[in-house]
Amino acid sequence: MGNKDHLKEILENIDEVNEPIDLEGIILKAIQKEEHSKVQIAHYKAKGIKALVLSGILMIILGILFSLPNSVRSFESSMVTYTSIVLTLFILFIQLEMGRTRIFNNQKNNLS
Amino acid sequence: MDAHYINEVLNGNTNAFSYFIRTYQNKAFGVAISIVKCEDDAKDVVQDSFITAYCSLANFRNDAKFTTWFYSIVVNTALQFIKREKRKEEVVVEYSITEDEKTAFNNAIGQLEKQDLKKLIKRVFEKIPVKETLVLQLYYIDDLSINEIKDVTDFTISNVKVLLHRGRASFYTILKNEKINKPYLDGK
Repeated sequence: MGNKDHLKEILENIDEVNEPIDLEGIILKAIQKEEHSKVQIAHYKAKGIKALVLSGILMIILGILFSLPNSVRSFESSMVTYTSIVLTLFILFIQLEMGRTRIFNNQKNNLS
Repeated sequence: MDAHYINEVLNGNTNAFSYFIRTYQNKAFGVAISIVKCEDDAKDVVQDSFITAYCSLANFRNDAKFTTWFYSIVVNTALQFIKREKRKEEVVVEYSITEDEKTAFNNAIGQLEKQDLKKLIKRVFEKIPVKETLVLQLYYIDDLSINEIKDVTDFTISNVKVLLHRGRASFYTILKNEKINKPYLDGK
């Protein structure tokens, strides 16, 4: 007990053992990068949700078009098929372009 | 003062976080280096700890002390770091020191200049096992109470007391074994 107190007494004026460091700039820069990444992720998430909603709507339209009665044939039938293919390609495009999964994953990796 | 800057940061003023970095970076570095034992790694730990603190500042309860909360982040970050690095098991120091020898060492180091004493402590801390150094650093250098050390480290109070006791024994044993009684002579 006596030793403990003595050591405390000896070390009471020592508040730092190591040389001072200055990481202020580096840390603030890292925080700003972190904030930027978070904003970008939120942005991509919002876009992804928009794309999902849009895809849902387009798929419903496709469903309606395909469920048209068989009596509507010939020219109308071709139009339906053509429109369906265009819409499918459009959905794929939206998924790839707005989802941006690669960029999204990169941002997430930067954060972790 | 801390509470004012916490509110500033939470209100979106990122630059207000500079106050915390300037105020606590050296203390955090001391705690980090006591665990990771390497300056570059300790700087990485400090940086990661500040980023973690910034991101989870909204979770900080104002009734708690900022230092205790922040130190616990530093300790956890540093412990995770050494776990990731898979450091080798530490050599347990043999405690073979008499009370007379302790008194002699106390007298010797008590007469050292402040700078020499700092160098001596730094050298000894590098050789003491992680948990003991951490507790010695928090208790003697950062002046935390045993209760505060318990909060920072998640050790139990009796564990902190045991580590303090063993840390002190290691401190004197290393002074004896390494013959580090005149640090000002070797120029380190």
